[in-house]
Amino acid sequence: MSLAVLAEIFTIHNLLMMNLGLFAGIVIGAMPGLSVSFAVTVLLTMTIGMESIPSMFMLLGGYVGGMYGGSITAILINTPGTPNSAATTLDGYPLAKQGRAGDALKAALYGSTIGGLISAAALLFLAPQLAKIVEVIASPEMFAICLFGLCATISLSKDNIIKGLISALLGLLVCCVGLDPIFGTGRMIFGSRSLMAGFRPVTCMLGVYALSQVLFECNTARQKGDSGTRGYEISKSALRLRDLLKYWKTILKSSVIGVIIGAIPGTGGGISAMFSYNEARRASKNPEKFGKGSIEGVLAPETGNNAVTGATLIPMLTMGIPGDAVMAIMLGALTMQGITPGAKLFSAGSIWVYAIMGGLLVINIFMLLQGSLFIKLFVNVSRIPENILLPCIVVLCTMGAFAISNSMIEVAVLIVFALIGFLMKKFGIPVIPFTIALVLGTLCETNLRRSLMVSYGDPMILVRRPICFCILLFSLLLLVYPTISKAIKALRKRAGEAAEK
Amino acid sequence: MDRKKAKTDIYMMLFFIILSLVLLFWVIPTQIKVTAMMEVESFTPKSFPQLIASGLLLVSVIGFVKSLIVYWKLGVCGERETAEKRTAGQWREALFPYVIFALIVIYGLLFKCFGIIPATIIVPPIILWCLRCRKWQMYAIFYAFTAIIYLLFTKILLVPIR
Repeated sequence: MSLAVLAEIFTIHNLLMMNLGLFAGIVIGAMPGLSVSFAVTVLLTMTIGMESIPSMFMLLGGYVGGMYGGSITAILINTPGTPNSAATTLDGYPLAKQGRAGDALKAALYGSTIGGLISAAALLFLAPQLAKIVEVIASPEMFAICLFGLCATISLSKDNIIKGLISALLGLLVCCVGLDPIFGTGRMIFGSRSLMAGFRPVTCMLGVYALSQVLFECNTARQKGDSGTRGYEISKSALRLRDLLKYWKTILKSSVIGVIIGAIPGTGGGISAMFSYNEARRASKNPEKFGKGSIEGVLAPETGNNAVTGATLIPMLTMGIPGDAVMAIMLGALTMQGITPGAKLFSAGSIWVYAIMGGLLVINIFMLLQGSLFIKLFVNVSRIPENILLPCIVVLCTMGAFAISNSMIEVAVLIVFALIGFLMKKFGIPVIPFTIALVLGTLCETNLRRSLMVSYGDPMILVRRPICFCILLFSLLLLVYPTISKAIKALRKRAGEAAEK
Repeated sequence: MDRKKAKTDIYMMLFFIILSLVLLFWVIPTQIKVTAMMEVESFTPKSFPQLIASGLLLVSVIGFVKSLIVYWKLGVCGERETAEKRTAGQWREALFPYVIFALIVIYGLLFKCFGIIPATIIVPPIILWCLRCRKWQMYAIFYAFTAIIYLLFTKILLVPIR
């Protein structure tokens, strides 16, 4: 079987797709303002009509490359290309100011590669074990897990849980449009045949992530006009792999942090990078160097954020639960290809899932090669003026949406969801719970209904089963915790003020 | 949070309250038909959308009350809404995304009526112009890029784009 998997991975077509995805991911990731989810959404348009393995390799390449690409501008101009690289600016930019940009970029590349490789290895070993457990999970527990995934993403909008909840509920409502999953009756289709299949998550995400970004960035692009950003000087790096491996403890710890955080739905590379940075500073022999240009301060967050790439695939491939926005997009892409992620992928003896997991290892190695060979090119490409990019995105998204079902209805849905995404961002409603709900909605409803059918309509089945009850309780805690902690802090502050008086 | 933002939140929550009421009392009852056979089940095709719409109503009401309290508290603290007038530049900045959106809609309509090539020749260059792109090379790069993408979709991915 392992030979068959290797043969599946190492075809010229697959290797080409990995590299194309990586290249595009690094370039998009390096452009400030464009996120990893944007990179994967744009690449998604190219995968329509492709076979599932090369298309997944292209998307994974975009994901891994985007994670690393964000560090380039974080180091050179103190502006993280993606939010995941925010922690890299803390030491990367001071290093660049000291004339050691080459060292910082090399540390980021090696850190990202090692983190990515460890994460891919963790995926390869943990996912089949988890799949065995998931296989015995019944509908009530599956419903609880779906709800947990949703609550975890909602809890990320700490400032306003209410807006996060509204976002998720809107996503679930959009999911209800189309044919009912059990009886097949039309729901909220207003007599339109085109709506019978419902809104395709992929088209909605293309609108919400990619096209809405055009509306969101157009003012900035207009202000900048034709002017690209200035050229950057990159000093030649004197660092060798040996020098970086001195920090093996930091690399290992950051990788473990990344794997653990990545496997939890609702988290992501940004959180992992911050945790890794703080841990590296805490454990360092020279904590005073952090923030002033420490190689360890670049290595830790970059290892941490790329170490989530394989781990986020664990809940997605074993349970069909996307941990973050990128996974939601990938899940949408898989559904479009007719593949339903879940434990059955592992038990059915298909090599597909192992090819995907093994491919992630290869992608990380290619990232090291591309990063070493083309770094100057990536730096220059990141200077392309934004105003030329935006119309290109419009054309790409429109053709991509049309290609999903060769129908103009998809283009109309794309445009409507672009406006929805823009308005959501404008009024501070988080977009991620909306997209996660889009892909989890049907799974959530189907499992809830199955559970109620089994219990003859008694909703107490969700409470009576201990595992299900614990997951539901934990989900509830995730939602109320930010509010409670805020209230406790306010009470403490008041008590402190009263004591002072 | 400033008072203006709290006021925006009040209007937003009001919008969601109205939306959920419309869903609960008009869209769901008229757009989801439940037959007698389905009625036997405790969970009909209507139940899930009703549950979600009720949840949306509940959350928006809580959000509405919360925003009202914040707005009132900020008023008590003496914070006043600054009734400053928007300058022409600020208006332009606020409306510009909607102009681009209108152009995207026109692009979609032209695509539907005349096909992708005429639509791409006409609309995106207008967007480029609106984005203050004045170098002819940029237009050339844009057309080269779209030509490659068009060929990719039609010749390699075999998408029947007109």
